[in-house]
Amino acid sequence: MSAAMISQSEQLRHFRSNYLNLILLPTESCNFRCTYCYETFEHKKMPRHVVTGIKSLIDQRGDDLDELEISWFGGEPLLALDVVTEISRHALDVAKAEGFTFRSGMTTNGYFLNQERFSQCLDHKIDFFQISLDGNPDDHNASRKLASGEGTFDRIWSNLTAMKDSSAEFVALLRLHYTMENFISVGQFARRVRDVFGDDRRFRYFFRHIARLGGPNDESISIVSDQDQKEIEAHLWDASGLSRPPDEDESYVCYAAKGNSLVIRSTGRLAKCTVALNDSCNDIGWISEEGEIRVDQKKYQRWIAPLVEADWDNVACPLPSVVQAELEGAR
Amino acid sequence: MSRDPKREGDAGVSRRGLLGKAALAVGAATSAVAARSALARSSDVVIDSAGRVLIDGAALPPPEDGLKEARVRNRDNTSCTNSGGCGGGTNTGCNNTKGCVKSPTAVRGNDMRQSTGTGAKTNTNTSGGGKSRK
Repeated sequence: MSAAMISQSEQLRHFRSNYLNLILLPTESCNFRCTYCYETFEHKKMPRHVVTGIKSLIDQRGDDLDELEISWFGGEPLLALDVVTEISRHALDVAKAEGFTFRSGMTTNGYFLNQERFSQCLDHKIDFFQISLDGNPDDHNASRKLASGEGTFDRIWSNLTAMKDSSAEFVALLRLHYTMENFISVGQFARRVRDVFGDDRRFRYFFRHIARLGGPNDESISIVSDQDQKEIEAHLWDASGLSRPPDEDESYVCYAAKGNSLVIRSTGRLAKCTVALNDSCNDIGWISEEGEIRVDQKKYQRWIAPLVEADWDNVACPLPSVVQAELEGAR
Repeated sequence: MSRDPKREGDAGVSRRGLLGKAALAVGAATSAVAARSALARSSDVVIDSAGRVLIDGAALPPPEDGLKEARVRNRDNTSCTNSGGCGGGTNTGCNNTKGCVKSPTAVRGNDMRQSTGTGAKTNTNTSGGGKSRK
């Protein structure tokens, strides 16, 4: 990353108390069993006391927030749509009463995002969706499967085209996966994506390789070097004809490095990172039913240290530095 | 579901592997010219029971006249239609569908070397979602 690109005003923005980003996992269950997934699906739907705690937290912060952003994550968040809508409705009500801005997005596998649920999301001001596709139907169905083993491509594609046919304002960010083995066909598939969605500015795209993120099948995933990533992604943008965003990922700051961003898991445990869910360094505290945040400050400080201390090379992913600091026993 | 491979936040990866990555990251940092930190030490920063960030015991105040400034900034980015809010300095090419704000630095006409950078950086979705998801 380009380390020099973070200004002091940008740095401070991530520590101001007039903004809060909550990444909420309303369930850690998932209807998918992607072959490369690292999640354990151990924790189910968010229980009542955690929902109450989050609503209480929003109540407490109403008077000092200028902006609240809720990012729904999982598991598959649409499996707990009632939790999503209840907390969203509460946030909308508080935002209206207190006069702060409320924004919301969701990372979903897209399988349940039919027109009815899509409308429900929009009604609750969830208007940003990130959805992954693993290439053409055969490739996608081989890796992004239902727990039953069935393919998922057709349903997702149908939901996406229905979204395109709507007149709603939203953004669908399509995460297009590739591997060392299939990137040529992914390029061809991405051209199909461009043909269908390319004229609709509500649809955006980016390419990412499948990586070893800690799942049981990691050994079977080919490692893609940084150089290969660059070359393959250049090829994919070119082959697809999709418009490449300028300076993509330049100076990216991970939410985990930001002081005013918290992950609340379905159990009520607090985290900073949505990937290292099973690592003790990422288990930083919990939220009470009264909405009180209880944090191990030392653990929290390890995550924000790169951004606080201008260690710009670790702001895109603080995890290695966090692990290192934990091993060293002090920071 | 895959998460952001590029971020390499590998939950199951061995710590030895992570340390190796950390060392590589340090090695790759030689071309970076770090901007000076506006903050001091991470040990001075805590999060209170309401999730507020406290630095040396106090919350950072919002930018001066923040709300008024935000409205001005939104007006300055009428063509912006990016996927999420952004706080870029120039927002060149930004296509935000939501509120998009120029950074105070840019609005006040300060150093554009920095604000150009923030433009590129923050014109991605600012949500925890963004590109860092599955």
